Amino acid sequence: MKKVLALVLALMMLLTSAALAETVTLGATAPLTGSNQMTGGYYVNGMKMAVDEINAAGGILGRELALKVEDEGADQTTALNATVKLIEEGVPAIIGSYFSTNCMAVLGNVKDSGVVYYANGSNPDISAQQNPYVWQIRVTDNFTGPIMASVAVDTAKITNPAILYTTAASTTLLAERVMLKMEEMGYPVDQANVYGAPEEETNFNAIIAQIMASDVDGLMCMGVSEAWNVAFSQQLESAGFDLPKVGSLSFSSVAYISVAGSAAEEWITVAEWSADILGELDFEIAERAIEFEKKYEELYGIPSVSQAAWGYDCVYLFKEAAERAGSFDREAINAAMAQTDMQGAGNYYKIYDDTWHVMSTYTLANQNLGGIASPFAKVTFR
Amino acid sequence: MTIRLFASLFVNGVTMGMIYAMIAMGLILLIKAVGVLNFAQGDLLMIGAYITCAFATDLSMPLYAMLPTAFVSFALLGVAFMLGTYWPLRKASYPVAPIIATMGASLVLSEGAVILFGSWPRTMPNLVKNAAGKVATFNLFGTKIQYQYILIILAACLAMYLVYMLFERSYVGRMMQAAAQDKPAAELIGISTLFTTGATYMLVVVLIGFAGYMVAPIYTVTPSLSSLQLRAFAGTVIGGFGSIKGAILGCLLVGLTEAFATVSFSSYKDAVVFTVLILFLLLRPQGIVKSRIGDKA
Amino acid sequence: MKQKFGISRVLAILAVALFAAGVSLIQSNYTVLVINTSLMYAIVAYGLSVMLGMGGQLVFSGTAFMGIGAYITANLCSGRLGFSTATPVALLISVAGAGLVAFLTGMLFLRLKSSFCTFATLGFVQVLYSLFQNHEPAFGGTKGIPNISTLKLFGHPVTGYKQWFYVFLFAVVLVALVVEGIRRSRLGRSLASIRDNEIAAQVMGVNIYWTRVIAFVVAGLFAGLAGSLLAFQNGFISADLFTFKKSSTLVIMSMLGGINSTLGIAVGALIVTFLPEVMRGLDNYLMFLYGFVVIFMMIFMPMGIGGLVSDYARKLRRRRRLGGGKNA
Repeated sequence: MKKVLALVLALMMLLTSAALAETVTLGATAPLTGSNQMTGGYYVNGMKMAVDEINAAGGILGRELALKVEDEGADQTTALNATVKLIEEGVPAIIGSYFSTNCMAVLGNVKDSGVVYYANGSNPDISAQQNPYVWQIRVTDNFTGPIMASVAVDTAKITNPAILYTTAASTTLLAERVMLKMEEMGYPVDQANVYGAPEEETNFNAIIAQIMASDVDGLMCMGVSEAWNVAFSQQLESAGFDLPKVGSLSFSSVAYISVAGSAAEEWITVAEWSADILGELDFEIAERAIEFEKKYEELYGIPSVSQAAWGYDCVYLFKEAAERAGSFDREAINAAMAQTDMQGAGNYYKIYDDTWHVMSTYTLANQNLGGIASPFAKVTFR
Repeated sequence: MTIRLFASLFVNGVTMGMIYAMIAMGLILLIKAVGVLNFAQGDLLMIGAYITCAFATDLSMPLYAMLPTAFVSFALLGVAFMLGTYWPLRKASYPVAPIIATMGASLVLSEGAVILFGSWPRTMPNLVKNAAGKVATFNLFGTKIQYQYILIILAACLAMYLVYMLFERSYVGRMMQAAAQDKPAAELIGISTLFTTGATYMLVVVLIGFAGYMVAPIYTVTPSLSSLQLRAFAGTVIGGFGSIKGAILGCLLVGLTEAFATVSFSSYKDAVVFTVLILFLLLRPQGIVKSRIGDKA
Repeated sequence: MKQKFGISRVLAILAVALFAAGVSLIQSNYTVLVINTSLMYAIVAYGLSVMLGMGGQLVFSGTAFMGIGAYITANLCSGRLGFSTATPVALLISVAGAGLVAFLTGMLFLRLKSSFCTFATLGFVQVLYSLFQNHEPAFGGTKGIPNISTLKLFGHPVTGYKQWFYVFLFAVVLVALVVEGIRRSRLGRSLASIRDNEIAAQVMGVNIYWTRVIAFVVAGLFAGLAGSLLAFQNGFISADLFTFKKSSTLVIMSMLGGINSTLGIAVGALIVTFLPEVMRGLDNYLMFLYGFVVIFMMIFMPMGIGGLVSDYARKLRRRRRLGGGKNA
């Protein structure tokens, strides 16, 4: 009898300990529905890859890492609800939105709850609020703008550009910064050559007609969504525009290039990430990035996109902070984030004095050649 | 404003105006025939673009096979649309109900397109290509105008002329008008309102699907194509609500306003277009062209 | 008649009390947030019910006036103009501002007949959205306006979604009472007569134009209130909260709940706001099915849930009056 009891007890202990093989859940919001679901898909790819890698290597602090992705839909309200939901479920950290307006909308909640928030938006206002729990992994627009302007002048030899930007937060700011830098460099931009178009716009012919009729020697374009980019570049090509073109990050994305086809060729872009890093390059590229790209292509069969790299890096930032902190408590991880010093796939993340919690170090200048954005220079701005 | 720029903007404006006019024509047909404001009009255009894109690109059908097949699918879609949103509501006590039903249909169509075709934008090859496979253009006042714009303008004119002829001159058209003006009386004479309503819907969807087909090569095929309907609404209202001629004029005005507004107000383009609408409503509410048939009290 | 009146009033009060008690027990911040959002939309929907349900005129201006109220509050209370106003004062100014704009635009738009008027409001929403999105000095442009301080009621700042729930609930009840009051008043009857037969109304001496303008202003005031509270609660607003799409969602919300049913509108708002949250797993299929639901409801229940309930209640009363269900 005693033996049976002991056996049963031992079995129960075994079973319960297996059931309680603890997991820690990392939260994330991404656009899984709506017009931006492509972006969401890339994020999830990158994050999943990181999560699987980490679990294969034994998890974090002995616990299995689980990922909970909530849909942020196409507007602020859904994103806010998604973030509040995750905060309530007790996740220690959230991989935040790629859209700056969504990041801004949740700042209050992040501050009140103390959840560690990895902001994937590029608007410097996000960090300018000095929220102690917000960590921005992107190269913010106030850095990218001047770099874009320098690349345009030095590489593409543009001195009198036409500028077209999407009327969204990050791109409007980019356009402003580019114009400021151009003026600084002695090439002020004529306001008559600056055009804005809303995100849902599909008809750029009137704007293109004006560009063609003006005496600009190049074009700089800041776009957010691939569909917008595709429509514009195709109409631009149909109109017979053959001057140098400099684009923002989304112009280097695989999605854009594969749909736009020949209209995407020869665009020069300033983007933190390029998938074409597996070949010979004139500059040093981190080992981590190369491994990430190899693995991504093996796993998914297509070249990666910046959003995948960022998702991947956020997961690892969390892992390292948790390991430094030795626990999964929000405050502890947040404190540990202040010692971040990590070469991720997409960037080198460190805490710098000139900005609050903006952790990026370099960006890449690329050109779309042969169907992919090939980097030709690495711009380390701090 | 050089003559070159003016010519370019003018052609652009007229082309877009003709596209809006085709959308508006469908709108007016539906209003006249069944009294329904169709808020799914833009989504029907978008579906038309997607369907033709699917036939042309995915199934690689040659033009002579694709167009008839597309037209047949549009006609079927039209009937389905009618049965879904209008027929069960034709005796509705609440006049707003059919309009809300079209809003629901708009969601069904746009989400359905994403589910069926995915969210990647799609492209269609240009309608008129030159030897090198690039879009064919000709020179006008020093600026290059694409032939396909002219094609669109001509095709739109032809389509609208055919519809106009059908309505005003043919017997079927008169039947439809009769049924629209006074249903009980029409039924007494022996006109089947089911037939006329169905015919109207089929016609409208074929027209707008065709518009979608022509729009697809210029723009990319994405679900946001449906936002074109708001401009068509504006054009319809400017032109006077019941009149087809007025709607065409109104849409041309909207197209031109849109094109020329980008010169100084590119980001505020929408604000300009709709301010023009509001101004027209205030200054000339009956529209550019007075309608022959008055509004029922 | 008086007795039925009394019962439904008691039921309504009971329902509200139960609702408030129920929500105060909810632990989940997230659920309360969603409830707050739906209550906010309910306020705007009540305005629509005055215009559409009572007056028979479809308008899309809800989000436009919401936006005006929200942006006035945002500008006054975020310090971006260099000064900060006391928040209750800002609330009043926002509501008044929205009402004023409603008055001015209402005078212009309501001269037009039904569909023309609808499109005028549609155009108005588009114009305002374009301005909200692009004009940086007045509206923060694409970046929106952050750092809006929270509402202070009698010196006590409203913090946390639970406290905001009580504020919203109070606002909704207030607005609902006003709507019920209008419905039973001369204004409500005038509106109904315009809706049912405009020529007869005119013959009876109803000033059609001014009646509709008043209704439009009322709707504008409600929407401005909702927008202002939204700005206070969220602390951050940007243009994508005030699009035409949101306007159509409001219309659908009101119709689903029952455009002429006071309780129904609140219920409709709750359902439509909760649906995307509850059905998060469905992703793309959610809006697809939702569209079908809208169509079905218009076919089978054009008077909405509220309409269905009052229909049923009427049937019950008839049965009782005819002397027992089994024998009738």
